[in-house]
Amino acid sequence: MPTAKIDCRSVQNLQYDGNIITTPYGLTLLEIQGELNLPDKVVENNENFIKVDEIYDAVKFGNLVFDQKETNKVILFIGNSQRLLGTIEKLNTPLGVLKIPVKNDDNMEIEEDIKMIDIVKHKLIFKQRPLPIM
Amino acid sequence: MNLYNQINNDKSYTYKLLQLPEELLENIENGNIDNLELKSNYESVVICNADKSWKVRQMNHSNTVLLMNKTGKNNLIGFQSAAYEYELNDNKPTISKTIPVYNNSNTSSISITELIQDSLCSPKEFESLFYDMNGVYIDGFAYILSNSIISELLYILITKLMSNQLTVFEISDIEDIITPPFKKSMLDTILHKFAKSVENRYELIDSNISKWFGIVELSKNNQPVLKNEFLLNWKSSLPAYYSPSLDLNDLKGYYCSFLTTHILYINPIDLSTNLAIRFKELFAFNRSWKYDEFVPFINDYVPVGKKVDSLIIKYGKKKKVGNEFIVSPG
Repeated sequence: MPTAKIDCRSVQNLQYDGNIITTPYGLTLLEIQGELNLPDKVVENNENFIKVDEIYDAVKFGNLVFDQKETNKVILFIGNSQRLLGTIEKLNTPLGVLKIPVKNDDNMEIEEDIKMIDIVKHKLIFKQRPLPIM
Repeated sequence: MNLYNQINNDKSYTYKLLQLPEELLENIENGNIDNLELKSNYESVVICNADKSWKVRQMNHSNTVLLMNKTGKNNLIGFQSAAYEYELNDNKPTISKTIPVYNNSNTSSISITELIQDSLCSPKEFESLFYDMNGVYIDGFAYILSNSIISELLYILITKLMSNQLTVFEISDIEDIITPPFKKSMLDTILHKFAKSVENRYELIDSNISKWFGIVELSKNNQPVLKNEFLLNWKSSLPAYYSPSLDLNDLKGYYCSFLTTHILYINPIDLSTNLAIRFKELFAFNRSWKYDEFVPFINDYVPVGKKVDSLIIKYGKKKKVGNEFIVSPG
């Protein structure tokens, strides 16, 4: 019978500092009811593209602004024409983040366990339709 | 805060989200769990810790869910899109293989470690299930103890305790009853099934023992027997001077009553696990069941969230006759 081990030692005794946007390891879960259409190739000389860890490319798709008065509300500006109203919600069932090794040509020989690398208890959720920016 | 999404990433890893029920989360966060185990066969996947197992189900959704990493002061960078979560539900522990009955020679090819690994349950659930089905470990292999060996060894054990006037005992008090063909591990099975233990001190559970001898005695008849005659035989099947209280109600789930004078043995293991067929088989024995004798035969097969009565109404009918409820075919 196929079996695998999930190593949970990284998430034992996590210290929460009251920050509900990111986890102690700095992760955030963002949910949008809809689809994000993003480019899959880098456009040269475009300030919306950055390098991550000097290896990977990432494209900017929005700007997140937190409401100063109601701390559980957020606004996501997408481009110059759309904004989404959202909230920071506590998850009914917290989520463990599993880091799962994928066998490919480079690491066929390496046996590595699945690791639980973080526990997410909140998410930023945008349930409404986009509003125009006037 | 600027939001980015990676358009290429490390192909050596993928990231998935696993729902953590309260009990599991608490144990992980408190440091009680170092590792979880994922087990799968062709139809199910389970996650286990040492004590409990959960069934894993993939829950798809159509929303865009991004797992993002905070870098620098003001950037959140999405590195994994999650089209689904793994949902954990309570699992019904199972032992996956048919284990041979022990017949004084080593014929099993199922090693214990292999059996534990192959069964969709946690080690603690496995142990409980294994002893419930009369399992025994002999020379590293798994077997089922026959009813006759269990009855014989139990009989010897009770006689030994009574002759030494012991109610609470340690293994050292009784280990001399293990002479060939019995083995020490058979005593472990007997103690798991018929005794409770606190810090290596054991005490027999009389109700489990009387039930065992009752079922064995009942199973000797394949025709309805007189209740009074059966009660007499049940009493005389117990070791001399051992007198636990005997109550026919303890054997519910193994018999049905006929008229008010007779009972008929029914082995629940012989019945189908498919509820529709199980109902038909039960009605073939008797078309007018007492409700509280009928329910124990189907209780273990009621799907989570459903009530017994809703199944009885689906596959048969329940009516009140005098002071009692009767279950009969619909």
